[in-house]
Amino acid sequence: MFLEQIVNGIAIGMSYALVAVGYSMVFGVLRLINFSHSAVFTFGAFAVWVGVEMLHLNVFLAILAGVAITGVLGIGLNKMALEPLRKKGETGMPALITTIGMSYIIINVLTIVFGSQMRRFPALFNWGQIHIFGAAIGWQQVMIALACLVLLVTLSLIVNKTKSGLAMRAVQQQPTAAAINGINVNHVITFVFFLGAASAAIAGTLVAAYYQYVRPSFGDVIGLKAFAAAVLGGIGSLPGAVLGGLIVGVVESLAVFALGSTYIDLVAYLVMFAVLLIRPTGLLGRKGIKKV
Amino acid sequence: MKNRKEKNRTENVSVRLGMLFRKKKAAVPAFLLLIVLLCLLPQVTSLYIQRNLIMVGFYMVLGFSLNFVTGYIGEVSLGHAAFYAIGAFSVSLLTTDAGMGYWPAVVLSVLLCGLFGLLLAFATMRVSGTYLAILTLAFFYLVMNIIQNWEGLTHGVVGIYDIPAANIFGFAFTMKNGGYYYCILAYVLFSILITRLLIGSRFGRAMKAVREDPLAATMAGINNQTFRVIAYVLAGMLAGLAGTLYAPFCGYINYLTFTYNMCLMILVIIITGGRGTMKGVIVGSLIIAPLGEVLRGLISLFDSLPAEYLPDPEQWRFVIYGLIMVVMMRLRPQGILGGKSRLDYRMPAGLDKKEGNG
Repeated sequence: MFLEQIVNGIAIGMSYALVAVGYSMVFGVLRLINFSHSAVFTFGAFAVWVGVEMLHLNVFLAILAGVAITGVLGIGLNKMALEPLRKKGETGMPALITTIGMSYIIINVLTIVFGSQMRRFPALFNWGQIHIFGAAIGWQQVMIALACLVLLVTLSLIVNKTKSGLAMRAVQQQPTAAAINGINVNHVITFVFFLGAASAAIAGTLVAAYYQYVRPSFGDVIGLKAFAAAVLGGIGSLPGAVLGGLIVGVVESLAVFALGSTYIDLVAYLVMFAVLLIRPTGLLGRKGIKKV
Repeated sequence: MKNRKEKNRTENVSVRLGMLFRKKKAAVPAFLLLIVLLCLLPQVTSLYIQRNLIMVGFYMVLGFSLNFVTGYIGEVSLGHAAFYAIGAFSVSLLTTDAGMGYWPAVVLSVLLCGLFGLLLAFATMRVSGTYLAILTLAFFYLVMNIIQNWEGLTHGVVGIYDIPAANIFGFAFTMKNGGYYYCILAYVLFSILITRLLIGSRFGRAMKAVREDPLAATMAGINNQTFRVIAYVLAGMLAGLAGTLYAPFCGYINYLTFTYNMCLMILVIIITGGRGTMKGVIVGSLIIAPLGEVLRGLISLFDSLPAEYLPDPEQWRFVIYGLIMVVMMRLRPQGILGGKSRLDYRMPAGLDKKEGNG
């Protein structure tokens, strides 16, 4: 029972990490928390759901299409809502309120189109269980954790080993200097939004498969928990996001084990309050990042 | 010189009164006339209109409350309905389960909301911007989660039935006798008064300084945290006050009465009108609060069409709120009535304006 809860925690924690990375990457280049990230996450899950359940596509194809569409949504968000604000030099509160507004529009359009009720989402890896040390562990959980791991490694390779990743890191450190060196800052930001939205879509699919349902309000709480994870690990840090996600996921699962499922959501919120009160830079965060 | 002093003294009373309503002398009679007209309004309007006016009143008080935090301190709070909920639940439980009288319950509930305001201010002490927005949202979920699950105290998902009507000296408020209307009108006037008093004072100037540039404010010897805490406590108490009237007005509340949509609506109100202005709150709530009803009215004009082609006003209302947020930020981030004040800066008493302002 204990081991099963740990594995559950790792699986869901890795999904949080995948969402948290999206927050972190956008924060890295824009010093802005993308409040609409949780709405994008829900949109991604719905995009895949439409592919699988309504258009009866092959699961793999549906995920690919859903992720691509969500990535485009991410680019659209940046181009339509945030770029004009940056051109006017209005960052800070106007940008924050814009992302809140965009998330609200996405969620409510989803509610209008699909209704607010739960929709059954196919379990993607329904391959039964494996038995280790007397514990029955679902393939579902193992595969979700592995899929997240593969994606996180891919993302960190993109950031650390490719030319676009180098440009991203340059913009992160000093946008003006990056621009002087011939980096198109707007392209980099667009690319970051695409990556963030695409990884949110994959995370959305995996979490929906884990719980086997999807509905428009589905991302609200998970977005908040992923943010808690990003904050705990240290915003702007990729390994931090993974560490934070794992801690939040496992602590939450153990809390179910110890306290029952009633107050499960409170755990992540309390963690977030505690971290931001005691150590706002998070566990692996660098000092000197001004939290604007 | 003596003449001027004499003149000052005679003007003193009217100036002080005028300070409450901005300086124009004609403003005072006009304001009083407006209040009289508003008092007569329920005598001539239908109950439907009156109900909507009461809802506008509730949102106006909530708008004034959020304005302390978002308008004057400059922090976006996404969990403001939490205070509204705490006020409503606390007054309902005190009047039903604890069997207290209405007004003592109101006083206790408002104090409790102030305490939660204090708690939130301390918990968010080290963050600002989006971090703060997300923490206030977490605060909202935290409060609602506890209300939903703590069955022993809040009756859990069942909610609280048969909340006794609010009353004053045994005179019970109903829609018919206009009790709720007059009460919420009084609360709106109270909010205007308290905002006016606050922003005209040292506190108000300090709060605005913190909003414009926290670092510079600190350098000028303003303790940012003190003013933040005061703003949060006041905001919590004012929203709680609205909640204490909302619960008996509804007669039944549960954890679904207070939603994230409500939090955002309050925010949209002050963004539309202009954050940090009083006119903005009033105009914003007049536009935003009845939007659902207006949409319903507009859509019913097309009722010859089959029902499935007609949009659901409840849902589209929220999409419109989102659009308002995005479009306002793009075109007019300071709100319809926001922006630089065209009135002269009023020097504190005892400072000559000519010497002080050049």
